[in-house]
Parts: sequence; structure tokens; C-alpha cells
Amino acid sequence: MDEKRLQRLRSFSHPLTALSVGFLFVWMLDILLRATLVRLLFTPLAPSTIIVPFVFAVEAVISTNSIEKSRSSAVSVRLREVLALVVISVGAFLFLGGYIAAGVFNPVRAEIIYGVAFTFIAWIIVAALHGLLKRREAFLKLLVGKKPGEELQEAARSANTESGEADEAVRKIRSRTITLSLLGVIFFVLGSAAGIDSLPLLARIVTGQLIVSAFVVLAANGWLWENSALADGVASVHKILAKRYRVAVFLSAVVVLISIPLAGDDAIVPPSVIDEFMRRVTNQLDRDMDRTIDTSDLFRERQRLDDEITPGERRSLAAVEQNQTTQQIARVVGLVLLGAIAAGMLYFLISPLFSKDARQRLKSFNPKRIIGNFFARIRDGFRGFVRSLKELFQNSKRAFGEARRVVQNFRENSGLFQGRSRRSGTPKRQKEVGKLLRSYIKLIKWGEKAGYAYQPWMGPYFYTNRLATMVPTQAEQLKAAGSQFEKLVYGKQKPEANEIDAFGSRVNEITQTRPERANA
Amino acid sequence: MNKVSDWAQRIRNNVSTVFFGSDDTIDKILVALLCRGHVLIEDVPGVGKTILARSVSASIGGEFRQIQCTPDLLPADVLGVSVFNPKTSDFDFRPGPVITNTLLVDEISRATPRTQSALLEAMAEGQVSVEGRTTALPDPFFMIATESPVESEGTFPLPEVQKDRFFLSISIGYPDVDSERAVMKSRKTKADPVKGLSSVTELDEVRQMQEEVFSMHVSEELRAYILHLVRVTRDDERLMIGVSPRGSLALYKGSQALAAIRGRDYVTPEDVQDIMVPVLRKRILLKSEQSSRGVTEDEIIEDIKSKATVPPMQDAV
Repeated sequence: MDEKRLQRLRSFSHPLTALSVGFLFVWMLDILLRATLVRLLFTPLAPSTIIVPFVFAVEAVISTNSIEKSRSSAVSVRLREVLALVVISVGAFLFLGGYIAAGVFNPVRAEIIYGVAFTFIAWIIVAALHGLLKRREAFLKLLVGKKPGEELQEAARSANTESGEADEAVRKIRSRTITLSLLGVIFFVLGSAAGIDSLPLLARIVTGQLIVSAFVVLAANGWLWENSALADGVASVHKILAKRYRVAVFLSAVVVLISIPLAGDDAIVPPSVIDEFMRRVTNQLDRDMDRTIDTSDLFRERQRLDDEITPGERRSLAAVEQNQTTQQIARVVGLVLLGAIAAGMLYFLISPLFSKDARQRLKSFNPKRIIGNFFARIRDGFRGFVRSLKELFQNSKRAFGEARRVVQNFRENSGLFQGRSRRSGTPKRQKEVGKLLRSYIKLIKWGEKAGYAYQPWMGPYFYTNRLATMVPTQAEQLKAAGSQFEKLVYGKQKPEANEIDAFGSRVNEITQTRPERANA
Repeated sequence: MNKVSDWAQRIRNNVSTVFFGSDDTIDKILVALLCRGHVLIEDVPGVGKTILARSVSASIGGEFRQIQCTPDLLPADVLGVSVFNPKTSDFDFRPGPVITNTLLVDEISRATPRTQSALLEAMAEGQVSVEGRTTALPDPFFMIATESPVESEGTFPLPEVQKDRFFLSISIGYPDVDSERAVMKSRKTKADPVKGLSSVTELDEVRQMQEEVFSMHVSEELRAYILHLVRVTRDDERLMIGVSPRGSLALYKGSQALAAIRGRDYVTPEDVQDIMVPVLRKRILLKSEQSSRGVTEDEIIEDIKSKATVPPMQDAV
């Protein structure tokens, strides 16, 4: 496993997978809803506003990478992102809808809320898919620089937990991709049945989604294979996988080449072609079934027309008829080929659903039992709630004590609240530490500009000393600042105002300089 | 520099003349000594476990005894035995090697569980009971045990309860090229290098340093940080047994001792983090599926450490 390949996966393949699978699905759903339900309720914004969900889908993959890089608290970053998403997307939709130009700033409008909801859906689907792929990266990261053979085998086996998680994540990606593509096909069928205007566009996206899904399923199978190969110390599996991808590219190219002449500029499979094909089939069936009809009148009419036209006109008509027939034959052959390929791809996509495991699950599927269980759970939940209320009133003191204990445990064990639970005692102390912290954070930001990322587990002495080795021009000052900070924060003596100021001044001195790295 | 730091420096310099490993390893042994605890050195044969233990013992002075454990070693061989004295027509107690200031128990896992248990009382209570007679061990009593993790035939793995009695557990690891070269250069004669070492401290001074460590300041935030680290191990799904309250106390005291050795009168997060693995690695028990996957205690502890925010930065996160 080399660093470059991991970098390629992290920066290109995995983000692209999450983005294409997630976003294409959201786009299809948007088209279907716009043309059906939404149109009945309100007038949606222009279809081109899908650019906003796309931008946030891209942002989701970028932020997932940056969260992993900085190892910052994912929950707080994600919460900020959601807040930013709501604010920015509301602004974008107001602007793109022409509301701002018209002096309207009230965002409580069905079309704006619809747009924001879709942006959020796109963001969360893409972030979730990308998050799964991150687990694979975490496993591969442990194998970087390991030589093929025993060393790689040892590293892969010692990373058993990560390997298992990576396998599980890849399987989830595969099943979700299949589910989303099948939903896409269902959307297309629903759109056809409803006779929506934007059916050609939907058809294009469904085809695109199927091609993407085929690639992803192929890749996911390859990744699973690669994981097991790595455990055996084989490193160059991706070269073998590349051959499989080339086959998929070839198949996709064939599909596109066949679909383009059939589709023209309007659609991949225009309704007119389907109509023509169906008419021909129906005519053929009619002729076969209705051989007893007297055709003498039709024959006579044809003879009369033939007598009226000149030989030149007859030749032209024959040429046109022959040309049309050739085109129609080509279309039918193309459609049959396309149908065969589509059936093959569909089989390829859904075959895991017919695996032994899936059959077992299907055998044990009992809707009556599931519905019975569902209502039983509701009944149990209600009874439990009533019982809890009774106990609460009967022994309120003990119950509240128990609740306090649960909250306390949660606060202590939860990363989200651990800061608050360990926040230093008195308000005065908080104020002192707060001042020092502000200066220290300033130093950290400066250090990050110098290229050394801060991790929350790093103590001040550790961090400033590591930073000093990277920025030798400020080494003495940085080490002194680290010692000063830890003495003020952890020392026995309470920090005096002048000591806090002195630390602040030292940090200011450091941060006013431009961080120059040793290897720069 | 404080008194403890100066004292530790003297011992470090003395030990370094025969042991060419890192100062960090010596510091950790001194942490156990300062906290009145005992050390388990666990490593492959030939990396200098016995040399390290003997050189530290020689440096701190006092009486030194060594027990080479074998499967036929009996508890009486360790604790002592009463022998009939025909002159007085009475039984005289002949103390075993455990009654000493520094005890080196070499290859402890080769002793039978009965003999290992005999050491339990000595380690925990600072006294031994033989034939109803209780004898207090000298102060300080410091035990260094060694064991090899690679051999399993003819050995008796230490029970969990006994592992918890060791204040910390360390491994030395293979030396770097320069250290190994220095070892080769230093072994020019047949003479045992440790025999040439003289003590650089008195027992009184050791006792004084042990008292000194308790005065190291630990801020409220750091106490909460230590508690958080310990409590996380109790809820960790990968572990069958988390760290006991004895373990959290050991982590607390160990951080104080390390801060004192480093010349400070207050503890920092780095002190806690640096002593965390040796103190906690034998106080947690992995679930069997984790062990079979090759996950180690050290990895779990490192993982817990990397997920905990140091104070007071949690206020800023």
C-alpha cells in the first residue's frame, strides 16, 4: 500500500463515489417530486437551483476530509455546518428565486423550505456515504509503507478490528448503492406512469445512476477482495482491479454509443421510438390474427395509386420507404441490445439480493409477526411509561436521585459534555483560565499556520516543544511560552494579572512573526 | 530543580554506567519506588531486565536479595522457615530472602501459583506471616519482578489480582544501535559490571523523597482528567475489566512522582499521559475476542488517551 494510492482514494475516488451515488439519487427525487406532488401544492423554484444542494454535497465530502485531517470534534463542526447550510441555502434560494431583487426577505415560503430540505437531504446522504468510506481509509492508512509479504500480512492482521470495520462499511456502501439505484428505476417508472414533462431528463439521470452504481458495486466487490488479499500480504491487487474497471468502462461506452443514435437530442429512449416499436408489434399481431379480412379493396386502392404516380416518383418513394425501414430495423436491434444490456446490469445490481443470506431472511419474513411485534412494542412502551410514572410518584426522591445519577454518568462519559463537567470551579478561576486560554488558542492557530496541527489530547508542553522543532526561529520563545502556560494553569500558585499579561505579550510577540518552517 | 529531581538524576547517572537503555525506563522504576510500589519488567530475554533491576537496587543502597524462580521453589524458600534449635529446644525463625529492602524476583512466572501468592502479602501489606508469626518488612521495601512474555511452557501466568499489586509494568525493548555499541564497548572484562556500582543515596533519603512526592500539586482540572481517563476504561466495550480505584490512585500518585522527578512541584497532563500506559496496562483485561484479534492493552490505553481532551482545553472545544 503506497501513500499516493491512499491519497488518490482519499481525495478523489471515495469523495466521487459518495457524491455521485448520493447526489444523483437526490436529483432524481427532486425531478419526480417537482413534476408531480410539489406542482400541485406550490410553484417550485427553477430546476437549475439544484446547484445549491450540489454545492453542499461537495462541501460535505470536503468537510469530512478536513474533519478527519484536523481530528477536531466532529459533532461541533457538523452542527456548525448544518447551521451554515440553513443560513446560506436560504440566502441562495432567495437570491436565485429573485426575491432579494424584488425586496422580499421573508424565507418562510414553501418553495424555499423545499429547497433547503433538499439541500439538507443531499448533504446528509453524501456525508453518511463518505463517512462509511472513511472507515476503509482508516484501515488502509495502517498499511501505508508496509512491504508486500510478511510485513504487510502482519500489519493487516494486527489491524483486524479496522479491517472488519472497513469490510462492513464497504458492504453497506454496496447495499445502499443498489437500493438507491432501484429507487431511481422506480422513480422512472412512476414518472412514466404520470407522464411527466421532464421524463427524458429523468431517464438520463437514471441511466447515469445505473452506470455509476454498476461501477460502485464492482469497485466495492474489488475492495472486499483487496482487503482479504492484503491480509495475505498481497499488495498489488488494485492493478488487477483496474482490468475489471476497464471492462466496465467498455460496457458503459457500448451503452452510450447505442443510446445516443436512439435518443437524438431529446431523450435516451424517446417515447416516439417506443410508440413506433409498440405500433409495429401490434400491427404484426393484428395481421397475424386477422388473416380472414378481405384485402381486395386495399389492393385495388394501392393499384390505383400506383397507376397515378410517375416512375420517378415511384423510385423516390421506394428509396424513402427502404431508408425508413432500415432505420426502424436499426432502432429495434438497438433497443433489443440496450434491453439486454440493461437486463444484465439490473441482474448484476440485484443479484446480491438473491444470495443465500437474502433467501434465508426472506424465508423468515413474516409480515403478520412483524406487525404483531410492532403493536406489542407500542403496548409495552405505553405500559412501561405508565408504570414509570406510577413509580415516580410513589418514590419521587429515589427516582430523581436515579435520574441525576444517569445525567451525571452521561455528562462524565459523553465527549460532548465532558468539557462542561470538568470546567474549573469558581467564576474567578474560569475568568483567569479563560484569558490564558484565549492567548494559548491564538498560539495554536499560529502553529497551525506553520503546519503543525493541534490535537485536543496534546498537553501545552508537548505541543509547544513539537512546534519549536518545526519553527526553529521561534524555538526558545515557544518553549518558554509552553512552560509559562503550564505553570500558570496547573501550578500551585494562582496566576497574577501581570503574569497572565506577560504570557499574552509573549504570545503576541510570537504570533506577530511569520511562521517559517525548518524545511521551508 | 527540586530535591527529588536532583536525587533522581544521581541514580540515573549511576545506573546509566551499566544500563544503556533510555532514561525514561529508569525514571519509571523510580516512580514506583517513590510511590512505595513494585515493578514488573516484562520483556524478551537478554534486553537487560536483570541488569536494570540490580543496578537500581545497587544505587539506592540498603539490603538487596535476589530470588531466581523455578517450578520447585516453595513459599518457605521465599518467606522463611522455623528450624528446631536443639540448644534452646525451640524453633528459631530463619527469615527468607523476602525480608530485605530491595528484592529482585527473576522470572516470576516460573514460580508456582503457591509461591507467587506468598509474595502477595509482602507486596500489599509490607509484612509476611509464617506459621502464625507476622514479621514486618523493612522500610522501604521495593520489589522488582521480571518475566518473559514469549515463553509459556513450564510457566504459570500471574493471576489478575497479583498483576494489580504491581504499581507499574514496563518493557525495555531492544536498544538502538548506539546503545548496543556502547554495551559491547563496556564489556571488556569478565567482571560483573553491577558489582562495581556503589549506592548514591541512603535509605533515609529514599524515605524522605517518598514523603516529598505527596506534596506535588495536582490541579482540580487534572484530577477530573485522571478520573475521566479511568472511568472511560470501565465503560469501554473492548474491555472485560476496567481500571479499579486502586488503579486511579496509582495513576494519580505516579503522575505526582513523575512531575517531581522532572523537577516541577505541580503535575501536568504530560505527566499523566506518560505514566498512563505502564500504570494501567496490567489493570485492564481485554475481552477474549479482542485478544484473539491481536489488540493489546497498550493500544486500548493509547486510544483512550487520544480521545480525551486535556484540561483546560475542554473549555475551549
